[in-house]
Amino acid sequence: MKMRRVCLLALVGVLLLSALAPVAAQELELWTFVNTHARWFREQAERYAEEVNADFSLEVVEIAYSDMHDRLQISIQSGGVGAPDIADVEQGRFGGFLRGGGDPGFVELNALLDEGGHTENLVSARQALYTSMGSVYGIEHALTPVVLYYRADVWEGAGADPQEFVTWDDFVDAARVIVAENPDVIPLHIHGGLHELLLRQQGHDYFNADGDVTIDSEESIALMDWLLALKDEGVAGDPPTGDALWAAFKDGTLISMVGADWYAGFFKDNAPELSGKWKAAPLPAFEEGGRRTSVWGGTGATVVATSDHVEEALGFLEFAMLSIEGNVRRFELTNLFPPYIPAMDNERLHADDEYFSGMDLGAVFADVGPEAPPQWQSPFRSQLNSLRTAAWQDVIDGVRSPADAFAEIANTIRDEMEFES
Amino acid sequence: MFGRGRKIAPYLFISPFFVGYAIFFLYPVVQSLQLSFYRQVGLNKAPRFIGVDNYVRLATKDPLFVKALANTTYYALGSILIIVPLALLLALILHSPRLRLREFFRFLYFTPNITAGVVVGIIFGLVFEEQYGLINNLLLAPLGVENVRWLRESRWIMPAIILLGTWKWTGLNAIYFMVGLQNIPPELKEAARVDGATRWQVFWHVTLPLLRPILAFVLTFAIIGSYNLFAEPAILVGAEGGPNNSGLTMTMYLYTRGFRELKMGYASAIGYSLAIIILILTVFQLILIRAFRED
Amino acid sequence: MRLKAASKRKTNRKSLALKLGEATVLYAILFFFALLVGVPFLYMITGSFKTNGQLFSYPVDLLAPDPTTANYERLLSGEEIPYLQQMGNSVIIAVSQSILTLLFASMVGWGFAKYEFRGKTFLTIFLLFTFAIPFQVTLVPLFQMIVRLGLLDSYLGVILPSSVSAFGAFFMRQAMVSVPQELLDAGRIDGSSEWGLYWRIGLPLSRGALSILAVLVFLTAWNDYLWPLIVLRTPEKFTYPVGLATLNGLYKIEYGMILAGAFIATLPIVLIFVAGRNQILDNLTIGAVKQ
Repeated sequence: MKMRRVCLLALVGVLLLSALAPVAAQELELWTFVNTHARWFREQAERYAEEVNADFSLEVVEIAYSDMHDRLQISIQSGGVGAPDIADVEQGRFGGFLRGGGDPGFVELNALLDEGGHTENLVSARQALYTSMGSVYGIEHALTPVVLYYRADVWEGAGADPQEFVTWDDFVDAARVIVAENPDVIPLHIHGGLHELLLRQQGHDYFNADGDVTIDSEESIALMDWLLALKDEGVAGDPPTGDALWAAFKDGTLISMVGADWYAGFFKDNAPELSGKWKAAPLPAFEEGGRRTSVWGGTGATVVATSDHVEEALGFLEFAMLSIEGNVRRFELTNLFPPYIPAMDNERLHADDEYFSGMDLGAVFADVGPEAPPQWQSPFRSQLNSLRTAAWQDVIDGVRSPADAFAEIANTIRDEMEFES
Repeated sequence: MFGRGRKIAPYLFISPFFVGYAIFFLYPVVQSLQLSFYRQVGLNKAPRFIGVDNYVRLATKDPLFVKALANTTYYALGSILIIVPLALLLALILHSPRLRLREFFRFLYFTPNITAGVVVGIIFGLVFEEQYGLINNLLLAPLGVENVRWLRESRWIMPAIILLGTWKWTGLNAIYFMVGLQNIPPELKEAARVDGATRWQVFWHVTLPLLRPILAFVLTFAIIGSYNLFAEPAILVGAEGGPNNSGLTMTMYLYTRGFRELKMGYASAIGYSLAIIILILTVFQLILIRAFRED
Repeated sequence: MRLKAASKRKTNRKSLALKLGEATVLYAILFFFALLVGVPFLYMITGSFKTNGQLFSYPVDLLAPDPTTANYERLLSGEEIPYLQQMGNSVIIAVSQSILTLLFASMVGWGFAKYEFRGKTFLTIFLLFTFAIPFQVTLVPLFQMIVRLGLLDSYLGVILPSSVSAFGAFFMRQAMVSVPQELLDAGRIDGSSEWGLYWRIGLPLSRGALSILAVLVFLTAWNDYLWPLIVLRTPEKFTYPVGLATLNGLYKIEYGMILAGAFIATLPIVLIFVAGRNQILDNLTIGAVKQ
């Protein structure tokens, strides 16, 4: 009898333990997958509590990119279990939330943006990424203008000035000189997003304005062939990713990076020892007088519809993301160039940047910003991205031709569109 | 609680288990079969009946499914072909009389098996790292072999995962074989020796046939284990299987379709296809082992 | 007799000479494989005392000549993930799952081993048949059920579905069959209830099997990744493998920290096994092979 009671007690204890999950904190929760964003959000939340709402407190949770989006999607669909109040959603993944038709599970922001008079202050091409059928669900963090980051000491030491490059041919010519001197150096780093952003620089994309797949277009294939030819020649290369990538930056193997504004922050975080050696210039154009930039990446802040604190969340986002101070501060902390027009000519965006050899980095972004090409959203973007990522290394290694690989990806997506229609 | 009724007692003893079994296993098994004939994208969307479309699509129009199947089969064959002979060799050595440090070796070989798959995946990320990894630097570089891009080049990904599997499972299987060897009466071998059989003949005609039950056990679990493979490759190359999806296993495919793209019906069809494949392989394998009987 | 013994000694000496060379080869094989098994573990431990810069630099060093405890400090400070809490979650889940599985499995095993009842044969065959169905089949509906029951992101959502183990049922039935019938008869004469027989005779006499099953279930639960990954949604609820995996995918991979976490989580399990190594290992494998 005694033993039976002990056993029952043990069982009850187990169940109680399970039920006694930590009590949910009475604060708002925000999910992001970028550490630089997290840093800025935390600071803004403190300011907001000091200046506007003393009761406000925000827990900023950093979760890995694909993990965060997967979790968010399931949380939203299961009626908000474990969902945050505010979430950063990367534009490439936003489309996935629209799949299956309609409601992505975020709070519609039209009222906030229109009534607050913010709509005309935001760059519409960026906002379009988070808009579906007239409803706006996200506020963009960054203009994401793409520039050419380069190791000034190396390029200038070889007698080239990337600021003067007019076309990509100029870049390649200078790169050949450097490689001839030192074959281990990789002047053009073919990273996973290079093809996509250069395609946009040319005015094309993986999807067109009508939502059709265009990754297998003539232009797309020709561009990839060009990159592969550069690689064969030794001017371009594909170094490893992750920490080995930063090791390659640090040991001088990589001497340039075609990247967006947010990459500047990555440099400072991951390779602080290279401070003072880098500069940035507008991209070389594909033809004289052509576009000197592109867009790459971008992330929108959203309010999750199941949140119990929608009003507080909206208030905070307005304070942080729709203000000159918030946008300027974000640039100072992360180098994200504001997509918020009133902040663009703020003098604090134009401070000397020690990391980039004392340059006015903001001026480079502001210079090319107006030329930024459009980018088209699609519910099938995230799936296309994962197919492309999978095929990428084989294409780079010449195991498969770009024409083959891109056609297969495009057909898979077309097939999928048909299957879901 | 159960009174003295010997009639109802057994039912009371078995009911907690069977109630749980019905709720958490049988019901989902049936539900999954039904769901596999529907299209449902998302958790709250209404399912739509589409007959066998999901299965037809898997078999004829889904290259990724075929790839996952091929990858998993590659892993199963590769790992079995390496692990079984290696484990048998180690077991024979460990079984030899008067061996010192037997317990030490046995325990060490066993440790990978009590290490979480996630941890193994993380460690092997550094083992296979192409520039700073252990294999390239400590094993291949001294032999003058250039860096192998284990996790980047599609053709090397599965070999890398097979090596990981070998590392993790060989020891456990060696211990299984040791148990089998211990159960063989020594007189049988001695009798064969007296009859003038060489050691090799003894192994081939006496030991191996008597190990058949253990072999069947090891192979069955190797097959099931291969098709369950998830944590290690998911950590090593990502849940989509990395370059060219070369590390995509069946369970990873089910996970990404079901819990990343939320294709509930389709993922159920993948689950059932997987079940059928495992069943066929297991039965086939058991028949094969029986066929080798020398009686 | 003497002759026989002499010839035996002779062959012994001969085979001893032969075996010396042979033994070297055998030990070489054993040590080589031990090295292959051990080096990744060694690298996990030394790597946890290195900075990222030291891990990704030449020459690759298996040892940590310039050790730092920064990884441990950062991991345990909870700055990135609440790792201690996540390990606590793993303990709660693995212990609860072991207790529940043991209870269910021993009860059903007892019922099958010691009673005759209608439907017994049918249920046995039925269980054997469904035993062959892989768990992947159930993942999607089980997840939907967990959502509907409101068990998403809860310990119970992880524990309950894993607590009914058909393997455990068979395993306990095999073990409990050998409990002597006379003891039960004597117990009944003494006026014990049926539950009392199970509790006071069945369970104590099956202690060996119960402990093997407990180790097996605990280990599986402690190391499981897929199901907790699906059910658990917030870092405060994660088990440690799910938590470590989130560090692995972060934009900037903090390898030193991940290795530190891996080492902390693996160490107690290895220590438990070192303490009871021979017993556990023998029983574990014999138990597994028997079923």
